[in-house]
Amino acid sequence: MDALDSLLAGFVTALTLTNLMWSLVGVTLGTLIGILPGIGPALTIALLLPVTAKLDATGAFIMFAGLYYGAMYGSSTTSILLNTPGETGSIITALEGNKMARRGRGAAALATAAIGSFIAGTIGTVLLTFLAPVFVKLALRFGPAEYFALMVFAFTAASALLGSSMARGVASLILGLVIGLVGIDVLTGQTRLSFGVPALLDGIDIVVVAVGLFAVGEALHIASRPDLRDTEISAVKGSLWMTREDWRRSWKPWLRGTGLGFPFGVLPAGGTEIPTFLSYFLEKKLSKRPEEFGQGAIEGVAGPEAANNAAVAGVLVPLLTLGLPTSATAAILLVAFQQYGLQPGPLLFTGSSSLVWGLIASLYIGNVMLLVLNLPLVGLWVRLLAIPGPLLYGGILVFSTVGVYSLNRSTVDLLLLYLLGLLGFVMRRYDFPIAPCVIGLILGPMMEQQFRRALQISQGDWSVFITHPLSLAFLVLAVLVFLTPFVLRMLERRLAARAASDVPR
Amino acid sequence: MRETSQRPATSKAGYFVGLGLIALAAVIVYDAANMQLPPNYAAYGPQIFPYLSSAALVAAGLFFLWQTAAGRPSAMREDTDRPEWKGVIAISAGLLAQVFLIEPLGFVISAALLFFCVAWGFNSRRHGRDAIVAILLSLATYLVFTKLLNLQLPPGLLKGVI
Repeated sequence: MDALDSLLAGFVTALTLTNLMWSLVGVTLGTLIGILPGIGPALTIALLLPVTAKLDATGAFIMFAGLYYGAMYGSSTTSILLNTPGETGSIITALEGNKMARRGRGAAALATAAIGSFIAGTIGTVLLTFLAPVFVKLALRFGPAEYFALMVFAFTAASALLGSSMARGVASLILGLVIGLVGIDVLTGQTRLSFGVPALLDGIDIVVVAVGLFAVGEALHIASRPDLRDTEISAVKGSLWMTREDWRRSWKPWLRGTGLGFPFGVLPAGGTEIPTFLSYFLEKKLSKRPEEFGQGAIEGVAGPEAANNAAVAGVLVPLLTLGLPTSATAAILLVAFQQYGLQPGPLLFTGSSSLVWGLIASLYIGNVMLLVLNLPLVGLWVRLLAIPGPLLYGGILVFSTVGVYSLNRSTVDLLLLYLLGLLGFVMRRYDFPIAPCVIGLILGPMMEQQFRRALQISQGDWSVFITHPLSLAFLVLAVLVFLTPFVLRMLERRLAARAASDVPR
Repeated sequence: MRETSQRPATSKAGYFVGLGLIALAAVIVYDAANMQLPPNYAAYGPQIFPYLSSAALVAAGLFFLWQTAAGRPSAMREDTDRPEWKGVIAISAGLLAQVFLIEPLGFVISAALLFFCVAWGFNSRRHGRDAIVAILLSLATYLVFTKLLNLQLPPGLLKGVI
């Protein structure tokens, strides 16, 4: 087996002492930031980019991947004990998990989340191992037209499926794309949206945008909302050993959650949020005791937690094989690759195979480390939740400004950070999702390049996008995704009308 | 998953958001229209994406205007009826202090100010504790970054002291 050989070679890379250490650093840091509200994996990796620039690439990526996995484990703890999800993928966990904690079953909720995450993360990594080579073969047949069409599909999926409405998703995505336009156009040397400001000629650094939208925007938003600011922590009560009954009720949701989460991560459909919702509703439908849902049903923690970890493994498939980010964190990871002069895509697997396979192998190891960190040691992590909000956010903003300032030692960057923070605040206040903006910022320039390259090759003939079969297929998929919400709403209305006409008789 | 708010749409915020998006589109079109380009670039030049983006922004902006005018409750619901501006102002002051004071006064002082402002914005009443943590944290950060990681931060007034 091709994949198995590569994986074994990967383990040789991942099991060196230095790389084990980076993995441990990554998963520990990931758990830490997952638990702390107000700071997530995309933000942390963005802040670490300047510091890691001098590190060996393999070690850095092993750390980043551990961090991404770890954040998913850690955020479930916060959801369960604090009722404020650490990351968007854990919103559903907070629903049932916090109810369990209030009824003195917090420990069992933590256990089913951690074990479910481990199982889903491991199965997800196995799927990643065997699916990646298949994707690489497919990707080798892509030209600029196919890449452009694929990105159109990813764009549509991200704006249609993330957030509360399509118009908000589209607006957020385009805002990111516009921020990405600022600076000198690579192909012609033309300056765009720079208004004669010299500091804008190189474009706005992605770290500044990510930190501004996430850290500053979040701090402003929470500070303006007394209801979010003052929260109450539930103590860990009960035994960490799940009862036989808990196991019996958890294992099927774990597997079903994995089955939902992984494909959603692979598809350019926007990361971890949707599969957790789907898993929750599926478990509620299948449960013999649906009345327990909303009161602390263990299935409602087990399923979604498995789904979000499996989705994280899924997100890595298009990121590594196609260079296509489908979540905000994946977008930042793509920037990290570019910082090392690496371009994720099929060539990464031949050119830097020891890095890629070392990274994949490290995920297996990281999952085991995370299970140990998050089950027996959960009591230690919980103390982090006792850090008062004012001090926590003060620290986050100090580190954010350090990270941004040390990029170019420029106070213009700090001013941009504040302005982008205000944008993030307004977006949160009016319910605009942030992730499409970050994806648009990073995919936008790549998409434009492929688009113009395709037109250059075809000498300005726009029909290349529909005469190439693969390109056409992606564009058709994009149209379908775009239309789905409208069709669903129409069906809903028709069903409601029929129900209304039935009732009076 | 779509929420329907029970409150009637009292917010006029949708107008601001819609007009804001359209204004941004106007800026982009203005910028793109003023580019000086050789004519053979027209088919695949640097103007296509700005024009496409502004078209999408105008579409989204008009949609919000229409939804708000039609009084759709989901058009632009406000999270809470009234935000606490005190927190926003305090954090803004802290960040602007960092922008304008980091070079003249030095990182340690400006970062401590930022920390204190943020804590204050989060409604902390223990100002003594906040001030001590602010100074210790910014001093420690400065030392770790400049001495261990070799990243330069401005020393400002404390030049030669630390």
